[in-house]
Amino acid sequence: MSAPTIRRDQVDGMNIHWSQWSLDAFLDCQERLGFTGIELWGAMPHLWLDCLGYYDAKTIRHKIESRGLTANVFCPENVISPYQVNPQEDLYASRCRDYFTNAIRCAAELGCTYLSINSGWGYWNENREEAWKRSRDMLRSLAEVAEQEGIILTLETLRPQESQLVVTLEDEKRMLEEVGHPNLKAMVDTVAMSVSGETLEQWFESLGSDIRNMHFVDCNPYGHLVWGDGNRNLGDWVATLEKYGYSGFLGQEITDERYLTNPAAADFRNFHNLERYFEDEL
Amino acid sequence: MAHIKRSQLCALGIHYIMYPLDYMLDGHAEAGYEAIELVGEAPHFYMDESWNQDPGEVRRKVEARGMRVALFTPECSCMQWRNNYADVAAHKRSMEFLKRAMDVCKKLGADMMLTNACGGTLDEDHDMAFDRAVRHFGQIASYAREAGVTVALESVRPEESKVCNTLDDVATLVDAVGSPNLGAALDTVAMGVAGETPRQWFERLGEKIVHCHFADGRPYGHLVWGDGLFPLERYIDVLNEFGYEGLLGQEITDGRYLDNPKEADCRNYQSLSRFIVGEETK
Repeated sequence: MSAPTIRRDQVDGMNIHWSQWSLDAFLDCQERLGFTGIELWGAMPHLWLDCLGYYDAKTIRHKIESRGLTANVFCPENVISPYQVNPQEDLYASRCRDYFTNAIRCAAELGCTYLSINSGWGYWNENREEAWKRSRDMLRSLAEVAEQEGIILTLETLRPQESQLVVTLEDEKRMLEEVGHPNLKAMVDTVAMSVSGETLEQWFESLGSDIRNMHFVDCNPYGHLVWGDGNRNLGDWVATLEKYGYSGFLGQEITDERYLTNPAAADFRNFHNLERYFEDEL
Repeated sequence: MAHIKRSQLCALGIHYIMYPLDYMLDGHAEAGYEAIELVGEAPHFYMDESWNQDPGEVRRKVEARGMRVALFTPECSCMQWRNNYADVAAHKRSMEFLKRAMDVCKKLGADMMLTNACGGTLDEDHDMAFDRAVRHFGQIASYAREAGVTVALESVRPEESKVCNTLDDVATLVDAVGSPNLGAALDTVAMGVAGETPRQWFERLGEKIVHCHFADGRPYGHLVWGDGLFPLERYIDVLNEFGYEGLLGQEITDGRYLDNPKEADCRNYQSLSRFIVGEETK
């Protein structure tokens, strides 16, 4: 039996920890390291996205593709941004909807297949079911926009410190069922999964081929870390991916502040730890 | 003896991001604050470069609780609006946002705004980015003069910006602009991270320090006084020695306070209350 592998083009480099560097610096590094795909985090200083519009998808796509890279996934900032999937105040809800609609259009212009999204969070001092309904309705209406634009939304879970809504596998399953739209699919975030004490096997057993995308990073269980800086077993997880025939993307959502000053060094270590499992490296 | 006035204590609500505005204002008032620094970010104040919510309504809510908005701090480092972009279009949109924020500031009943000089990237040459910041802040100071507000420029940590992360940069910039509408803000955390002391700041900038973000740190953190390592009494001694009677903004941001921000406010206020003079002890 051959050892488990992943394909090079499954691994998406990400730019969150490049937030103090230019887009060019990020893309140059991904090309040099041997990435072929990226999940583009849509925030400044790399991409301007708000409820009014976005700048400048065409130029950015050209920058990506001229380096032999593909933007597979678009990840509009929606944890620290003013926009979330669960706005409460009326005057704000329409702006949030516009923001995500623009994000979906931007993803289509960039040539992406998927857009990573979450449930939003709701206020800590409000009834969870009320907040849940808002998220469900917003996700359904965004899935309709995504259908028009040819984009699939993938819903990741959040940590309990970030949200009281879609946090666990059970929440994920319930939300996907209630939204019930083919343009909303499942997404694993290995950190949120680990914090909730769940396993990759449980996710595959429960959601199977509906899982289309992942934020696949090391952690302990907190921290979105470079592979090697946490305490997860990469080899075991790669074996699990193979066992369930997962062929979707593995976004490298590295966010810890320790990587901000030298993101290239972080990507170098991270990529080489993943590269050991590439089928084309044997 | 180290002393402060009750009116100098100024609440900041970043650690209330999981709760709505009313809950935050209740928390500030219950802790004992008379002044607040309102941060222009979701979910407590919604605005972008084309629109803002009604400041009058927020002002009434603050004043109904026996407090006043002493300072307005529009989003300036996490979101897309920043003050030192190289990209001309992004700079223009940020300036529209900042001008709108000045108008909001006045309508809230405040005449001071805090900001910083994020927006450059680490792959730029420092001096080039710094010269740009001097030009941009010259522009900002002239907007401020028209609007009748004072802008306080704080330093930030090196993870946030390459320029204006030290006393030297802030002082050089404030001197170069030379406008009565541009002053400096001492942020004790950025100061601590840069290895500087309050004495150095006051010796260099004196009365040009128009505001403080006065929080505990290790030196990182933005913590409740008592949770960090800073010598509170000695820092207050320095404020007294240089006759600083401006506000002491309690910028608490650490994730540990998000679940129970009211408790953090009360504990912090009590740590500082020990130094309050000029009234009967509560």
